[in-house]
Amino acid sequence: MTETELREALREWIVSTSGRIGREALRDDTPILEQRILTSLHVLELVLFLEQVTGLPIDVQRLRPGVFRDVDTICRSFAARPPS
Amino acid sequence: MSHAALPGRDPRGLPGYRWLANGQSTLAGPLLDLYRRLDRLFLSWAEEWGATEYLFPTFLPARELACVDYLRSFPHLATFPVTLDPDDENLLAFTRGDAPDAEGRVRLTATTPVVDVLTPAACYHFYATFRGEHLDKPRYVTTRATCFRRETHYEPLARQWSFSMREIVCLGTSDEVKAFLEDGRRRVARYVEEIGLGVAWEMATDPFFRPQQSPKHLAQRLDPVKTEMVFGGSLAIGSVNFHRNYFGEAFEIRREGRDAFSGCLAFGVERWLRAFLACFGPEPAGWPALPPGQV
Repeated sequence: MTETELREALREWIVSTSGRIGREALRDDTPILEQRILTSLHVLELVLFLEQVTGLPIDVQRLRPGVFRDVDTICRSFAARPPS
Repeated sequence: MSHAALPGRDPRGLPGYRWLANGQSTLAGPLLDLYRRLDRLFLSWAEEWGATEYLFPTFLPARELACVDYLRSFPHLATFPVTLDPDDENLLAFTRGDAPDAEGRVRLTATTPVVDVLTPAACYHFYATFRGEHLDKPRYVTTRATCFRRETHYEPLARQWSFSMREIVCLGTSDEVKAFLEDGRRRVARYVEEIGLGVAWEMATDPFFRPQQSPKHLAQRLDPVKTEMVFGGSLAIGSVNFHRNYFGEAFEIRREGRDAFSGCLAFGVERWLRAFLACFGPEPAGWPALPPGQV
């Protein structure tokens, strides 16, 4: 999956999962956890979603602070990454 | 199970200090004066934001804490006030028992339903108090509360079942709260540097039950919201906490048409005492100048 494809899929997933923000209001630098657009209960769902769309497993214990900050950061971290 | 001692000065043997095996401290004399002066220092910082001071009762209704899922997130820390069922026969049966037994244990007869929790953190009282309010400007408040946290082991002035927590809290927009927390951290950092109290600032998470299975713990690890002031490598004497709009949403507190954000500066007064004793010694003449204590 290219970064552009991941970005688009991610935006759609956040808007539909959150229910707290519209498609037009979600920017790629909107802090999605800080603003609680996604809550703690969504974090594991996000991991599963990323595993599904990238086809690669994610080791939750190795995730770094800030990795889910916003759409930009997630795409940089998970698009075309080597398997963890 | 053995536990490494936390840093700082063990106060046992100092004049006016008494350690109780149930994880509590008694203070008198110079140590009580230091306790009051430290709290007066924190209060003077609260006054810089014009914070209104509150004095809260010891119990919180359990249903208020349920709004923020406290009892599921931290069941291992909770302490509950329990009373006997007032039925005359039940009370009579209790008086005929051997409470307390040789080990000091009290065997209860029938009890009334538990509906309260002993305060686990000072700032919870504010959100319950401000429930449903719409704030037309940021709100700064402060309180000192006796907090109760059940632990597996205790250590004088470092890990206690009951201890004093002074908090300065801001409720407002995200930007207002973040500015408050940054100012607060700078204020405290300037002070500890001035007096030479070595403190490191470290990211931390709350002590969730079964953290490896807790989505909240994972979320806090990935998006840190707590920074601790750590003395001697492992004694957290205070913390800077950004709650996002978690409490605003749970308690329907609004600011500028949205759920209010909140954050707090928290100071563990006994732990500050322990750090002060380690850094400046037990003699009052060696302690840094502090505001006069409140009576």
